[in-house]
Amino acid sequence: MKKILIATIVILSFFASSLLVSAEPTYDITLNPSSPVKESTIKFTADVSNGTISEVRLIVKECKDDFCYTDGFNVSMTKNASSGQYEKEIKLTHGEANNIEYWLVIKSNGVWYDFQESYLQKDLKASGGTNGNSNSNSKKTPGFELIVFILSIAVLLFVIRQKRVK
Amino acid sequence: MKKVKISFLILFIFLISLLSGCFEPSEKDVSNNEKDIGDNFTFTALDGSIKSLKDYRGKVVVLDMWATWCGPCRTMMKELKKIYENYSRDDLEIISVDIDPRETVQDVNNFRDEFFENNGIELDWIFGMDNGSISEKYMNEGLIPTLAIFDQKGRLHFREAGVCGFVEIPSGLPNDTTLLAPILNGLID
Repeated sequence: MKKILIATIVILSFFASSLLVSAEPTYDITLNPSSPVKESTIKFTADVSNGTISEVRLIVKECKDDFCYTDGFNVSMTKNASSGQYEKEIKLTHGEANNIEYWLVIKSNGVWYDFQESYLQKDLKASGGTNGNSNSNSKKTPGFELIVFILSIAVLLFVIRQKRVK
Repeated sequence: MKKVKISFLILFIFLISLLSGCFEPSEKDVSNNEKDIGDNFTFTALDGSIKSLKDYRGKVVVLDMWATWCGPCRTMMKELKKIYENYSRDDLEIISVDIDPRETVQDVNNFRDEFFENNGIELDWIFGMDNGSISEKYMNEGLIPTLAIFDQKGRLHFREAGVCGFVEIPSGLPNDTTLLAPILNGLID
């Protein structure tokens, strides 16, 4: 009876350990800001569990309703020593994109796990804060042309006056 | 007299060389007349074989450039299914080529299985992997899906980035979305 009990415990522990080794890592990603804006910088923070994690890569693709850009981000995330979370900041580049698709590729116990099939999606807000067409060239001093115009008339009047005096 | 002879000889050689182009065409010219004027590209089919556009001469070919992570490409797949079912295999073939070098045949097969499970739509046309040459040649904007349509002689007839509809514009897409039915009917009828 004792032998059977020991054998059962051994088998169970072996089974449990094999499950632990082969278990797929799981993750939870948060974005900051949670409602990102087009062409802005987003901080991705990932909580990764299960297995010995040696590398976490973040893939981000920018899309519109009817297409996706094939370029994108495939970057290694940095582990925050204090929180144990993986972090990465990404600056979005496509003004036309209105959503992003993102997922992780995780190296756990020496095996790469690509979670592409279960990618996550986030809508992007339009960058607000401007009324109408803001022109970047409008940095010139307002009325500068007017000053030049008045000065030129003054010079002209001065020259005419000098001629009349002669 | 000698000068006349020389100038006559030069004139004779010049005329002969000029006329040589007017007679029967050479072998080279014959082969040019029958030359395949269509485009060509190669891709690796999911079974590992190398296929090319030339293999489908005589049919209209719809080339779909996509990747498994691309949400709009899923919408395109639904429209491609309608196209695939609407035309005979004697008239039209669809080739969906995965252009993402990170992706594998296994990814594509998983995608097809998952697509069938979620949508009840079997993606049963030709699928393959790009070796970089197709995207370089036909995907100028770097956007997916990108669609290219070749006529029966392999000539590029249509190319557009973004989702296209078949007969109707898929829901949620802009009103100026291109419909493919008129283009395909024009080529096949």
